[in-house]
Amino acid sequence: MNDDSVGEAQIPVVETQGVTKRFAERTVLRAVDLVVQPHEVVTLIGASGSGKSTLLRCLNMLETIDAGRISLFGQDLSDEAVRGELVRRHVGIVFQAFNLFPHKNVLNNITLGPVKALGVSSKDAEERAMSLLDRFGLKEKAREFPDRLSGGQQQRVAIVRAIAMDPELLLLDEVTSALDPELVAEVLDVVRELAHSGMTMLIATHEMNFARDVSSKICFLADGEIAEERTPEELFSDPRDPRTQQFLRTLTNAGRL
Amino acid sequence: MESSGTEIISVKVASSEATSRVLTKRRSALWRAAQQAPRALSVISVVTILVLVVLAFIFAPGARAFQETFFNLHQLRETVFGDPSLNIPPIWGAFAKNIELFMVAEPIILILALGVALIRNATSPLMAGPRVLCTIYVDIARGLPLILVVQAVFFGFPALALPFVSSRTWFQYGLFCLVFCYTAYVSEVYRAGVMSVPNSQLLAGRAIGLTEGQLLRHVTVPQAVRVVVAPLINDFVSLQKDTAIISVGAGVIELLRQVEINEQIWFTDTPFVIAGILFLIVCVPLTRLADALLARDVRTRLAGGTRPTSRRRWRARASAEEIAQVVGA
Repeated sequence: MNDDSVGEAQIPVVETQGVTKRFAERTVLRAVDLVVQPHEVVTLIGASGSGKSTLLRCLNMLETIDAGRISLFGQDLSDEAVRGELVRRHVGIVFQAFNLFPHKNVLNNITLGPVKALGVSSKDAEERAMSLLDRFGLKEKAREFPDRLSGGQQQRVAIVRAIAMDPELLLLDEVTSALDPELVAEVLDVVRELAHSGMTMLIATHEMNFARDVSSKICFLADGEIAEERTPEELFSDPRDPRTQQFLRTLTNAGRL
Repeated sequence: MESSGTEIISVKVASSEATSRVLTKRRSALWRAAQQAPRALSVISVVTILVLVVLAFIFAPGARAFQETFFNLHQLRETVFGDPSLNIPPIWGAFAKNIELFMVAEPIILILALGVALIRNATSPLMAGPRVLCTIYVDIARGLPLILVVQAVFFGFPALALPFVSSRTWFQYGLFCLVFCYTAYVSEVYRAGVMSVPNSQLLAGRAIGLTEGQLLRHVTVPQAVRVVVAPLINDFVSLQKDTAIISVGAGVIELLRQVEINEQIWFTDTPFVIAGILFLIVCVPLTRLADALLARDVRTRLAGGTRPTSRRRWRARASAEEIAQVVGA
């Protein structure tokens, strides 16, 4: 996006070193090293339980880590002075189950963060929310309550809620996994548009064709570690790690690839 | 063989289709009748029950004695409006005591119970001590019948001869008993409300950068309150009725105490009927309010108001099409 930065050393949006996370005795992440550069779209794939969601939640401090180091925009998160809610004002996350606030209508779901966490005036926040809703074809749903929307609409609203905070990084945690097949496309279209607009994103997904389209880099996670990290073309045409080969074979046999 | 088999099957299928079509037709006619029936049905059933009750009152073998004891018009009038010659005051004064107990106790309970609930829900290790104390208190206060607490307080507190505790008025003792017992119940209602908010909501709130305080204020409490309003009003109703239990403490002349005094004059149950009616007048609107609030909440969130009508319309249209098909065939 920014031509001046070409050639200069960019500060990566995400840089993790040896990130390890345990739940009781179970180690969910083992020494994960990951770098996301500005405007990159990095996709995490892998079987359920491979640690994709946990990694995303560690990055915006919804989970604590047991070892290793995470820096966002060059800022080390292990610093005592770093507060979770301040990090999350810059890092949006969208969940698998939408998690919209059922007691607020669509517009208020979107404006809550900007108004309360960022201190934007309600009027400005509403204007911005309306223009975002318009952009994603949800303008007429502004006054509806989440329970009255379809799953696809709810998830699009959840994405709008996240980007209304103007995040510098957007984390998408299997955003289509809870949707009926016919609703997946409308949500993926939104994500594609965001990718084209230059949003830096880290996406956990089971939609392989989508991952192939949209990613600058794909990380295959297995047993809590990044088994393989390649461009989409390389990963899908020439997987090296036997676990990746096995995973892709399973998907092909299931007709998902 | 094979062909005849399939024929039989196809005949069977055809006949079952025909039956089901007829059945759907009949069902849809029934359905439409049922749609219009409820109002008429409910009117009929209510009227029937009322008539039966009135008939029982009039024609029961002991009807005369019953009316004399429970619905003695003369005593009804004297109980309500008072009779200086018998030294009976109008009932309003005594009933006002119940209302006063209720009105003063309720806000205190709401505030104290919130404190107890928050302490019991706190996770910080610093709060471990208060948490245990609150748990013990709730267990005891919920386990003890109010009537025993009243006995203990009204006879025990004065006997203690402590400077502050033993010199309170009877009204304040009554108030203490109600607050002691009901704070425990209401704190549990609050706790249930807060715990009913799913963790995913807290995650969503944190995800947009809210602080823990903002999370409580904008995400947890608004959702908890919706869950809690109806059960809270339930507890209000129960509290309003239980103000009568203060009568066993004897010091406060509230409604039940007053009608007991009246009963000692005539040895009939008519004064109790008055007490019952007065409690109903206050409590029934409260229960209606609880129901209305619940219904309103369901409506705004699920838009349930529009659903039944649209379903009904769909049913009617579908059956019209089916009828057209049957007629056409």
